[in-house]
Amino acid sequence: MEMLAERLETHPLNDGQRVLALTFMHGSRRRLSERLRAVADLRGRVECCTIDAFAWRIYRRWRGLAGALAIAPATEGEFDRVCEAAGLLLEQPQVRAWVATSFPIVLVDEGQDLKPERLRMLKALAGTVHALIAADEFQCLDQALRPNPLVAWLQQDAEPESLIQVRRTNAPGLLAAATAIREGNAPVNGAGFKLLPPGASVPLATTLLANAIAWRQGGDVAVITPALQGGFATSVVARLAMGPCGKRRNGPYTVHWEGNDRDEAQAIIADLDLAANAPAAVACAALRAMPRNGPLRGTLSWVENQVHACGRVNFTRAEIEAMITRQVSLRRQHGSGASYQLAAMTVQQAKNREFEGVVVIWPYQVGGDAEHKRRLLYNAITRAKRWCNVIVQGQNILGAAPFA
Amino acid sequence: MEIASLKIENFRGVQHGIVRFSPHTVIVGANNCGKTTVIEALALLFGRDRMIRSLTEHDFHGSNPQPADRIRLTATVIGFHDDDPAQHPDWFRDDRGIVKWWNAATGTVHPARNNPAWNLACQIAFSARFHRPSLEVETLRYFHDDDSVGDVFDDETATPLPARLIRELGFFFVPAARTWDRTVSFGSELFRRVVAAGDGQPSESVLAERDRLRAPDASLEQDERLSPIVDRLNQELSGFFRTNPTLHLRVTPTDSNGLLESIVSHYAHNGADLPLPAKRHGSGLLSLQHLLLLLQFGRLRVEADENFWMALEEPELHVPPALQRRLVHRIQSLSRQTLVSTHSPMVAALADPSGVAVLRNEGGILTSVALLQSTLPADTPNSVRKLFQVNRVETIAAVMHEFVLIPEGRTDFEWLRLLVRAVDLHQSWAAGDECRFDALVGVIPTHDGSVVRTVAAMSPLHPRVVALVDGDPDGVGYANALAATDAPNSGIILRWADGQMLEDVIGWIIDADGAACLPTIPIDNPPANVGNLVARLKDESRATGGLKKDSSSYEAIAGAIGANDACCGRARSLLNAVTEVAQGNEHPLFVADPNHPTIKVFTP
Repeated sequence: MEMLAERLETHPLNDGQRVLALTFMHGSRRRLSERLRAVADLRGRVECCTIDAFAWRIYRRWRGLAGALAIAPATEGEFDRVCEAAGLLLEQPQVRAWVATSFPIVLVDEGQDLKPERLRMLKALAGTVHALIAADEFQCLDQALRPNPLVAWLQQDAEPESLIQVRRTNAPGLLAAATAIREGNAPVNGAGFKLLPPGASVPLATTLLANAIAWRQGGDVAVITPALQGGFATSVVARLAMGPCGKRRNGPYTVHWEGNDRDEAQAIIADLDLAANAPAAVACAALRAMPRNGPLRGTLSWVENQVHACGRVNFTRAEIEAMITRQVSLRRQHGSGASYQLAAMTVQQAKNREFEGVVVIWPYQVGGDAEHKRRLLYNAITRAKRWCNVIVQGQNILGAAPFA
Repeated sequence: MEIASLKIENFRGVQHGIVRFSPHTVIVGANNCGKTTVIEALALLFGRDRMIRSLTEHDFHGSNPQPADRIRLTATVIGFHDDDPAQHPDWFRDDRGIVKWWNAATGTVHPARNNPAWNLACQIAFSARFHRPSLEVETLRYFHDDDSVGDVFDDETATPLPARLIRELGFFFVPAARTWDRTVSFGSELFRRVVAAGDGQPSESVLAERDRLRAPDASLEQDERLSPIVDRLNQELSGFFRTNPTLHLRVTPTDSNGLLESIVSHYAHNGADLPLPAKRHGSGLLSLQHLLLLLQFGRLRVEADENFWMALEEPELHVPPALQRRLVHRIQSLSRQTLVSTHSPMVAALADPSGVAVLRNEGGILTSVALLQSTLPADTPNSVRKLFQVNRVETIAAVMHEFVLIPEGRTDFEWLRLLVRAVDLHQSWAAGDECRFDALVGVIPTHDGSVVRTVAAMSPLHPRVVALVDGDPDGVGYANALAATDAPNSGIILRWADGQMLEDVIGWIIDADGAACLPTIPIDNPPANVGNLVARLKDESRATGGLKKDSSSYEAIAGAIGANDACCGRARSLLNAVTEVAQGNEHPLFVADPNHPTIKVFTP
């Protein structure tokens, strides 16, 4: 952020120019957008989008040139192919000059997560725009990206500035634990960080979680798990909502599982009373008969537009279901997204976010090598601003990486 | 900046059409061929919102738009500095247009510059659909990324064309329907823009005048005869309102808008004391006033190195021919690009012949051809080139007709013109007297002997070209040559009777009442009989009494024909027969040659 402010001071934006901030996921896009609002000289002249959305935009607008260059066609959902095509387009001087005219400065967060086809876009752009790239190799959770291509490229072509200080927290125990995990050592309990006794059974783990939430002294809490396999974390969260637990009778607490588009879409679709094929009027009536919410309104207006602008007369249930699903995920991506005091999510979903308190639920079924597990734990506990508790499913987990 | 080409889909009478423009284009063509459609398409693309008329179902081709029907207009803009997108960040960037390359040789647009001669281009599109539930036409103006882009009203995201760029383009449109009473009001947008263009200086005068009108030196309500009424009214009002309102009479609503709206232009001729309002002058002055104001505005823009495009329908309206020339030249010298549609061959002839675009509309398919194409074959004889140069007034006049008649030579052109005049002068209101020739058929001033080459040169310009040849061996040869190549494009060749030419036909016309008509022809050595007259008409030697190419004798003969009812009737029947056959109908005066059914032989 400081580098950006410095750059803006020496190279102010011209009329019509903006800073392009690229992130890997929608969640981090929203957060980055909030952060950038604080940069003084920017005054909202910033465009935050995911790298996939940016790639689609390039490809969509330059598809004529893509055709002339014999670049294989891609559709919006084929993220890797779209990025590949966008990378090839950005290698054309006129395309990257065109991007640079709008976006002289490009900011990239979580650069370590960029796969080769996305990195290719960035490499092509780097020649024409002023690129500010933030990356932490240790936070990369994709084992295929080891050694990390972005970090390798940066070390070769640029002089990266290393930020050693974790800025999210000043709880000494949290800082010490994070440093230990990074260096391949065992984390130890300290102020703000605590490895709880193993929650060998679901009720025991639930009690530990309920107590952690009850004693949190305010603020939001994220329940973060490295793996949903085996259902340990989901069982614990479900149990927590049922009633008070343990001797202290803490709870019940309702923890919202994040990013569960499929469930939400299914819930809406369950109310849809529509045959496999239906005339437009019947489809509209069926949608109108359902409880109104954002995704449903979006779907209804899509159907109406198809009728009035394209002359469609029949719809299949399958395409309406697909549209509801799409509207649900669109709302999550672009809506402000309801924020819950108590939320549950995977480590991947938690990336680049922060919470007052974090409870890590570590089941047996965590895949990957020791290095990968260390990265997962590191990513989880560094989400905490004030405190972090870790509940493991069994004693023997504590005897191996990342806990030993 | 310059509009290089325009593609029209499904707009008004045009189902599909492509028109190319030069810096100063003059559009001509038959009535109803789409001249106005082209200009209004540009207004929809580049006009400011206030200039855009709202669209209705009738603006869609076929007038019955279905949900999926779209009006789509796509223009290619060129003329960017150094053909370098970096010099035009307002045009080429993420939220603006895509870099394209214009190949002027083929009139095509390409995504990559494969040839250094190609020009940087930006494509702009306009799309409209009819929304049946609300009975409204929804429109969108946007940057056209590529021809493969889908429907902007369905799934596509369009990049809208910002109002600022539209202002920058400075497109002005003067329609033929000059509703002067309204547009000439100086409250019109045009006047405001002229006021604003001069660095805002004149606006200070407007504000000063507004303030003077807010507090007039002598206000009407204080007039001694009016004040008693006003006082009583005020007293009454105070009984109703606690705030004691008082009446003040002002001549405007006392804001700058009201002031501009109430300004009425007056003109004083030769320094007369009392100027008269513009409306009291002839329509010529009214018409010019607006145009000249527009030109002043254009001048300000050009001086500020800004763009100024002007589309003008029928500059000949209300302006005498001598001033038309001056006007067109003033417009062209002030504008980066002009687009003039006209019904006046004279106005069209003012332009560079390569800038004259002849429009033709064949069943909704609109095409435009430059009057003088660079594609005219290199070996084109001068006699044909002249049609597009010295004789272009006549040529343009001819192509504005439904049918174009290409006679074998200049004499035929002269005679047909004289006959038309003779017949028209003596036309009555009786339906049988009607001669439709001049309304439907345009005659080309063919140079002698170049009928085949002229047909070839005119065919791209007009869909219905008809040839007319003599019955002598040369003429028969021309007819056969044309028929062998399926020319002309109407599939109709008219030929005079075997061994005959137009002079013989003149003889046939006079024969209707030779005894009465011959003595009324006021020429030296009056001909004894019709045969003698025809022989002399064919003879070029004045020493032997020859009359060929003697235009004053031609006029004398035509006058005599017109004055004689029987002769005039024959002339009329001949002209109507030509018209009928050109329209593809049968007529007893022309009989198809059994060997060449496209050749219709004159058989009186």
